[in-house]
Amino acid sequence: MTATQPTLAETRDSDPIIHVRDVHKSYGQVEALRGVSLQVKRGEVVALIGPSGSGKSTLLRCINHLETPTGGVVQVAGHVMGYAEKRGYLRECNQRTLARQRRSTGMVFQHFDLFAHRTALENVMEGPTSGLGEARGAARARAHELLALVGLAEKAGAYPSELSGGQQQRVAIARALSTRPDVLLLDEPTSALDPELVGEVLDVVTDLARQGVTMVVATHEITFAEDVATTVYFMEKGSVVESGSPREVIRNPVEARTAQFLTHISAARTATT
Amino acid sequence: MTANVAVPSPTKRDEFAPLPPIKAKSRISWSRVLTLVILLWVVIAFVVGAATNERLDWGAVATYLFDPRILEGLRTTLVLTAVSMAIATVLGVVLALMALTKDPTPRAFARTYITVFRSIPPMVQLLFWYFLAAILPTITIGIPFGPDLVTFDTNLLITQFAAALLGLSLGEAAFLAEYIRGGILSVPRGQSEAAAACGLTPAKTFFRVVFPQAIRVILPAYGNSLISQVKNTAMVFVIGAGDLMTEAQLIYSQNFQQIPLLIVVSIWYLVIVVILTQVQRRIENHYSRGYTRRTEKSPARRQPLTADSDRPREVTS
Ligand SMILES: Nc1ncnc2c1ncn2[C@@H]1O[C@H](COP(=O)(O)OP(=O)(O)O)[C@@H](O)[C@H]1O
Ligand SMILES: [Mg+2]
Repeated sequence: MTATQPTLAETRDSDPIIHVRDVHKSYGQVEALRGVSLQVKRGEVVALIGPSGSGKSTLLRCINHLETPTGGVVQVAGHVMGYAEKRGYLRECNQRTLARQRRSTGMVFQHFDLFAHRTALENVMEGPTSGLGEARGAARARAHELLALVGLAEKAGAYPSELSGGQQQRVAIARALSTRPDVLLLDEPTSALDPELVGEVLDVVTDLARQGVTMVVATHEITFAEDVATTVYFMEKGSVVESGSPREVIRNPVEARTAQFLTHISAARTATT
Repeated sequence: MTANVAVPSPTKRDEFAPLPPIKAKSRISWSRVLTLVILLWVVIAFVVGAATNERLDWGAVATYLFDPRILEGLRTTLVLTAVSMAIATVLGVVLALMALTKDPTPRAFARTYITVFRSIPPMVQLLFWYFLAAILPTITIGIPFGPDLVTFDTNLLITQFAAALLGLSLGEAAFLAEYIRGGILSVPRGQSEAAAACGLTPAKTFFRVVFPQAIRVILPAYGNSLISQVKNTAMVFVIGAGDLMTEAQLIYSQNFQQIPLLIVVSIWYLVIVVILTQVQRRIENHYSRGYTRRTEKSPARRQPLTADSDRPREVTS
């Protein structure tokens, strides 16, 4: 891994960086995921679309094990998340190992969730220093670079409460990149933003995609998905209904439910603009 | 009358009917002057009465204020407060964490502990630990129904000072545990999830992200507890633990100058509490980092109605 360049584009091999195998997740009676499988290769940008409650967030949170799947396994960058191999068996691993495994993913949340008691710079330094145990000096230098990358170099000293929603989400993107993850997981990164702030965040995400950062993005921004995604998955009721290139899924959906969702969402869009 | 009449726009002033000129409110508020006079009279009457009454022996107050025995008692009071609060804080954090785990065993233990120790008056606890030595001459640590490992002589183990510490800290821990638990719960779950997503272990997440934010919520209640604890230490005079109150009592039981000595004691408690209040304010300011906008230094400063922030929000592409 390169030390100073904030770009993540690296081609180690052609293996999928994320391999989700038949993942199930239930909350009591609610089945949030009913056997989802997907593969993400290095440099791919996967868009998850689908109605609210279809399981997009749950899938993303199962990938980095913020939620433990009730069935199936997730492999990220080679390791089976939440497990460690011991004498030929996979056993549930401890929290320390899980924390290390999570470092191959970076996550951007719908509601930003920046550390409220830390400045923008400190937010971006927290993962490298407290998580990876890097020296503060190096972490600070890199945090400044990442803030510059998202266009917020001059906001380094600002607290989250002093930033607009769009600025907070861009800091959150810098924070997610700070641990040099193999893949970025974004859960509806613009859903909580005022309409005029959506663009600045999507621009940053688009830039990262162009630089070859691997990502999985849950989104309702269909135009963005069409422009940026290499693969689109349409989810409904905890299952993947349809997947393929944006041209296939968004332009010429095979499944009636996909087509219905797309007309519904574009109608909602034209109604607001 | 409509609200927009009050804000005449300079460009369109002519469209509105002219208003009568506004006369500034009188600067002298007679009700305030009356309040001032009454309260000033109360205070002066009290101070003069206290100062001129010969039976309140102010000379004795001055003599005993810095009496070596009193200063020794003051030292003990401060040590008792500091050590008992330190024990109570550590124990309180442990109990709060036990109460918050998913594991039912520590949760039940914490709940029981908190219920029991919050219910028993501190004075009773104090006497309990003090007299424990009388009924249990030795304390043995060992395997139940099995061999003994260590045996202590209770009279040596539980000195007056130790009994005072136990009585003051075990009950206090139960209260602090509840404040700390509330503080931890007040930190949104998204904060710890974000920390976990950044690769922080649960321990790092707690100490770097959750606890610093919980402290902000805990501090006001904690400060009050600390101030109560300073005063609670006065109870230990019943077991003669050598605090400020014990020393004062020892002196006035010989010379019968109860009132001057109680005034001496009151002055010292007042000094301690005033200092602690200042320290508390400083610490609270420190931990409100990120929650108060630093541009609003003084809350009294008026912001113009139109500007939503005094720093322009820049546009970045
Ligand atoms: N923590 C939870 N407890 C119970 N049910 C949940 C929880 N999280 C999600 N769900 C349920 O799982 C389903 C999928 O939710 P989610 O993954 O958030 O969907 P999406 O992100 O696509 O809107 C929903 O029915 C939701 O109510
Ligand atoms: Mg969601």
